[in-house]
Amino acid sequence: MKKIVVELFSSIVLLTSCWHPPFDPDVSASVLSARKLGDPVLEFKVSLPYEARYGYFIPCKFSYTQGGWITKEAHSLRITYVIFDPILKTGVILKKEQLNVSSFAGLQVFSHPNDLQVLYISHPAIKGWVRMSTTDSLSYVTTNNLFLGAGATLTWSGTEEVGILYIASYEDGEQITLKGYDMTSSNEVYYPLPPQLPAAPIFAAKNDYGAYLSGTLTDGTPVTYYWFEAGGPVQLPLGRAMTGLLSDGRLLADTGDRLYVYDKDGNECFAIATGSFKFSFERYDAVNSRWVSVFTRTLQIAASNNDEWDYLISIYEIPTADLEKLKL
Amino acid sequence: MVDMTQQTWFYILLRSARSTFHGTFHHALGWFKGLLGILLFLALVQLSAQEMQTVIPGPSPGNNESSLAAAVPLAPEPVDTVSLRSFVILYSDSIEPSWATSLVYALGKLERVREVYLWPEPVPQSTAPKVIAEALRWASLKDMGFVLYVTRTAPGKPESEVASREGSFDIHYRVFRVLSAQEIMAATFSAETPTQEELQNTFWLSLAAAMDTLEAQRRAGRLTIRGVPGSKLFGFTKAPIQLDNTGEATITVEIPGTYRYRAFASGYEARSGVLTLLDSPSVLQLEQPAQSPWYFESGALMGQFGDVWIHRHIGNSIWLGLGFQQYWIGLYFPNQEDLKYTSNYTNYFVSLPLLEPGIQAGYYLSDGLSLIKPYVSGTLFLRVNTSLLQLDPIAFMAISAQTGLEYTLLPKLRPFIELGFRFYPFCDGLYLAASRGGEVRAPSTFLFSDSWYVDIPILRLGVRFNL
Repeated sequence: MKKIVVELFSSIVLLTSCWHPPFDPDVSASVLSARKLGDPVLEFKVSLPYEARYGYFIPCKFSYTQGGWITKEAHSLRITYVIFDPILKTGVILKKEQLNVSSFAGLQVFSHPNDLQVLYISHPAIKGWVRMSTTDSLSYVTTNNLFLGAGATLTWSGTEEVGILYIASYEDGEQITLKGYDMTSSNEVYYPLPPQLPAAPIFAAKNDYGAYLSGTLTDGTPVTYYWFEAGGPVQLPLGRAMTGLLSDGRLLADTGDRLYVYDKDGNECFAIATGSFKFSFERYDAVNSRWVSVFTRTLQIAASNNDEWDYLISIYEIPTADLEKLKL
Repeated sequence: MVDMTQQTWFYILLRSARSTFHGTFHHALGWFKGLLGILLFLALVQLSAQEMQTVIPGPSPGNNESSLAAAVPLAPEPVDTVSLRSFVILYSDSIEPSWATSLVYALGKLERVREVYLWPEPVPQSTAPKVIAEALRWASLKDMGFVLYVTRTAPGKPESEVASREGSFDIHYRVFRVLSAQEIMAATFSAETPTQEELQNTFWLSLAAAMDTLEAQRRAGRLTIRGVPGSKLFGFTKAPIQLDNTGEATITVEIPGTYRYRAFASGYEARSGVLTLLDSPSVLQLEQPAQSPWYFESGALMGQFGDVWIHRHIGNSIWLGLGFQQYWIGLYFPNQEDLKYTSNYTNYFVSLPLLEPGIQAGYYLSDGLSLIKPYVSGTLFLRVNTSLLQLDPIAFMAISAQTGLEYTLLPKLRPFIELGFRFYPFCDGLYLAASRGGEVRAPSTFLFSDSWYVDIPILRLGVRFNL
């Protein structure tokens, strides 16, 4: 009798142990932060085919209904360019890029500031940036030397946004190279070699305050170097690898579940609970003469026995100067 | 016998569960029906266990020991047994065993017969008086009414003269009343070697008609029951008996009689027993060990996420509980689809920053003596997001309702299994649906609106310890 009871219980455990509770810390975190933002500027639900599973959306600057769909698979990264039809609740995939990667650290998606339907994607496996356009074939801006990181910055020229892509590399000697590419031409700036180069590059860019290089050492310790006008490098006190630069000079470290904001010297200001709530980019609000941060949330609602699942896409905006309102 | 039958039930149950799961693996609703089937089966097991304790009147073949045990009348309601008759049949070695068997069936067909017991061995003519005396003693202990002795002789000859195997013969029978040990009837009828059909239908008619004239005799007796004050006893009278402040009750019962009783007292172990009363007055002293009202319970939600509860029993049926459901460590069996993506479910262990402290109330649907006790319970949870260190912003609370079965494996150890649903009010159900994180292979489904979410069915199993 006891054996039968044990057998019965074991069978039930085996059969039921593939259940998911209705809880995901990423979704909960996104709801918490989204509430602080009020209503989304755009929200729509679409049904997407099997290949969209577990992906998330980063919109283009000029149309929030198209952009990049990023899917992190176990050993690869799939980036597609999609155009949604919120009325028909469908999406069309126009372009696809698959990268075999072992880690997603260093992944960046940069929406072209002036050209609709153009995305730039960076990952250490690319060793630079790849341009994804719905009309042209993929084009690359990469380095043949030791890749140390990539990044991008935005500035306002008075009439339009100016985006610059950066690639840091090291060939030999006592200097590292930071190549800037403003979408049409490039130039190079050289900086003294830091005491220890990151083994896993994550971010590199410069702004008016100086240049930043961030990554992790061989033991996994994050390290961020800063070259300022008068010298450098100095190691900033960031406890996390840097992943972005805001237009106002503050530094970002996106850990997936949180977005940490630091001042330009690497002192932590505050953290935002993100999860499914992705910091996508900044855009210049010419009407109010201010930079606005754009967050995108993609929620996946699975359907049983159906390849097409529903996705709720919500896009929120907040003036960059008010980001602290999202403080956790 | 009872255990064997229960094993069979569980085997059937297990086979059914396996086939149900196998057949409806991808159909949540079908699985739900299957689980309902399990609960129904388990309830039937309980019913069958109870029913098996009521021995149906009839012969009990086998050796002496096991037959004697099985022949104990266990009728839980003694009231009707006053006029019911019971017989012990002894047959001499001149009677064919098949004839004796047919006699059992002939008596069994009579009205108001409670029990017919066939003595396991034929009685040699030479030892008949001694065996009859032995049968009377045994019958008195077992509350049997009459002993019937049957033998066969040559036509017109006394009992001592055995008939030949062929031709006509006489059947002699003698009836003894067990209470007085007196012979109350003796008769003879002539017969020819019967056919099988005659044995089944007519051969024993005259004897059966004579037996039908006998009436059982009972008298009133006094029984004093002593135990924990306030104890409630079932089984002696139609209405339950309650012991007074001194822990005593005196009642009038029919004797001789055999009574199956159950005794309950809050804070004490429930007891049951079988009492055979031959004398008046008699005393029944109940042994009722004290029982802690506190229980520790540990379970696993869907067999994956452990929880811990402390229960305080109030009376015999109600409990209140306090504890928590945790999701920090859970089991999971990922499939190829799970392993393909980066998500929370790519490992055999799942860790989610969620803790649900809760309060619980439950009610047992059967008494404390049942081997398998069905119950219903409800739980109110608060959902603490331990990553955000606050109540979860999507759903701050949940309510679960379930029905379960608790099996008394050991007096202080009770595994249980329960099935129910979880309801999440005051939330946008879409966010919870999105929080499931992909297709769920577990046989459960969900419903939601913009203000609630339901997960159904929810299965939980575990074990309770009496502290």
